Amino acid sequence: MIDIQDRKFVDIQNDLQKMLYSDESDKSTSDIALNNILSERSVQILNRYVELSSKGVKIAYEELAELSNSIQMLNENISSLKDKIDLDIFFKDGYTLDIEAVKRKFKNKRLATKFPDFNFARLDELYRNPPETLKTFYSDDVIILNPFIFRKYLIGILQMVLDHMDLVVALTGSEGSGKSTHVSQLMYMVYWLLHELGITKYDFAIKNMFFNSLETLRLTEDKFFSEPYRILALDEGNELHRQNWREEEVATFFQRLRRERFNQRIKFICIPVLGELMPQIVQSRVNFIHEMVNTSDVRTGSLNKGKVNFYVIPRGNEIYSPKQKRNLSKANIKTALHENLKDKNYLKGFDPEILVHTYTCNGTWGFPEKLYIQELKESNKTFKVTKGFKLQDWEAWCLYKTNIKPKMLGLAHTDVLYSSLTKSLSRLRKYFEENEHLYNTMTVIHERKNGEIELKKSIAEQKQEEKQQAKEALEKQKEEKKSQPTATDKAKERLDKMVDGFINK
Amino acid sequence: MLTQETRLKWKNDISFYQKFHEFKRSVYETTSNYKIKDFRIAFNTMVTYLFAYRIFINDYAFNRACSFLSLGISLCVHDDFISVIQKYPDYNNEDLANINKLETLMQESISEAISSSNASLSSYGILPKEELKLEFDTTLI
Repeated sequence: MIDIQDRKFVDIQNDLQKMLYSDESDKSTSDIALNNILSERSVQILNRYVELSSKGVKIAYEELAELSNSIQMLNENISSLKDKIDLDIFFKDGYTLDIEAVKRKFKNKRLATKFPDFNFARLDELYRNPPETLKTFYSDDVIILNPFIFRKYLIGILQMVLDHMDLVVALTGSEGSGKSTHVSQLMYMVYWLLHELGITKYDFAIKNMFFNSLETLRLTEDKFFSEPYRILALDEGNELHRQNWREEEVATFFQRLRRERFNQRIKFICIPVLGELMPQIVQSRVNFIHEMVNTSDVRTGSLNKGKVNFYVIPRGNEIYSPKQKRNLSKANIKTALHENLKDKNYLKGFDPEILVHTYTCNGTWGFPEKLYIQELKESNKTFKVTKGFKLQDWEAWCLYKTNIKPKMLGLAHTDVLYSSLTKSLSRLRKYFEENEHLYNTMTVIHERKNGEIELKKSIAEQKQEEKQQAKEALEKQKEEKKSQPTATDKAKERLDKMVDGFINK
Repeated sequence: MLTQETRLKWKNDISFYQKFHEFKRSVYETTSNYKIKDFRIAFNTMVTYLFAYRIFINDYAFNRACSFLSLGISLCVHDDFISVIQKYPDYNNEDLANINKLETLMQESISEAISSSNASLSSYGILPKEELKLEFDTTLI
């Protein structure tokens, strides 16, 4: 209780000063006073436990049971408290990553050899303060970034490094809603992040990243097969329509999506309607979905482009939606997506219940728009007209076995045909030499076919010989017959004899 | 007997807690910054607050706050201190230094009392905090 103390003035002063300044540890906010966070009963339990364990006295079974119950309760209380305090400390400075813990995990997984230049300080800085804009590499234009989206991609990349995951992003939206523009922005953002964090190094070349057809995408993927963290974007992925699942390219694409997490690609798929993709692929492999939306501008009678609805298919149990200000559970999202994707329900549009965030993007391209128009629209044209032709394995083998080289055909290095011929021939060689099984089967087939021809030859020779022999035998017979007296001769003789006898008589 | 578990049955009474947090804020505002002539007001506010919410405050924290307050009030009403104050306005430099020092001590005693009671009140488990707005995203991807 509060009482006025009648003591020496100096003594009171000293007491107060002692209390104020003696235990500095009490004042720091990071220390949590046990008395403040535990209820009285919990403290009693703790005391009782300490008392019992220190004395080592025998206790009755009932007491033991009570003790175990109360300690269980205590444990639950304390662990829930710890979770809360962890979060409080974690979010004291807003969004933070525990960089020390990241470093520890990095060290435990022995990733230092794989990523010698990984920049932890930059990771912390970027996560805490995401840049608002990003300057493009080709001009002074800037790409406007949304901090929420930026952080999600940053976490995605971090999980790629620490947990060996990959990233698959789908962009949907009607024609002209800005899918290509936005995908170029996202690509550049991811590229920039990969280089800022010192994860990998390569050029931002559009022809190695952005494709119009599955075939070119596959070829480039083959080309950079051993390089992880490659960004690959498929524009107009209408080839991936569910109906085409039987086609070889589509099957390969999905096969790679399913199996080749090892190579850690970052794949962007632009597709007009998400439901065109196979539902199981969407549900199991896609991480982010950006849905581009056009709104109408009544005053000018035109369209406002650049509104994006952002959906996440979470890897954890929940995802926080700033739009709806609540956590969405993974199960709910998957159920809603399944409802949306099955049959032809995808024509209806997404369930607004699973919307995570909405944001706007600007119209700056991540790479020069000129290049996009030049290279990709042209390839689009050729893509429509000429389809090329495919070789069967046996036909390709024949070409491979001839071991033909452009030099043999009299082509010089400077010739236009030379480089492309060399390329395709080397691809052909790779195709057989890297696939041992195929090589062996083709060798067997080759030997069998060779054997068949020889067999035919030998059979034909045998037949020829037989024929010859038969001929010879026939001629011999004829000659023999010639040397032997014929029936008519005999008859003549007999007749002569008879005539002679008759005359003699 | 009022244990802290029975006290927690109030947990769902949101309007009570809203008013309570408003009151707590006003107490904090009055006691955080005052001159020595307003010591009476600050002290009264603090004592009212401490005893009004006695049942929610942990015993340890309550005793600690009480001892701070009693030392503070003992200083304020002590003969020695009043004899110095009486000299007004003829203070020499030594007196001014003494008064400043005491003023700091008294202010600190009250702020220490409020901090220890608040630590008990609004920390984890004893009383719910002000309704937590989900400002931070605790999920990943």
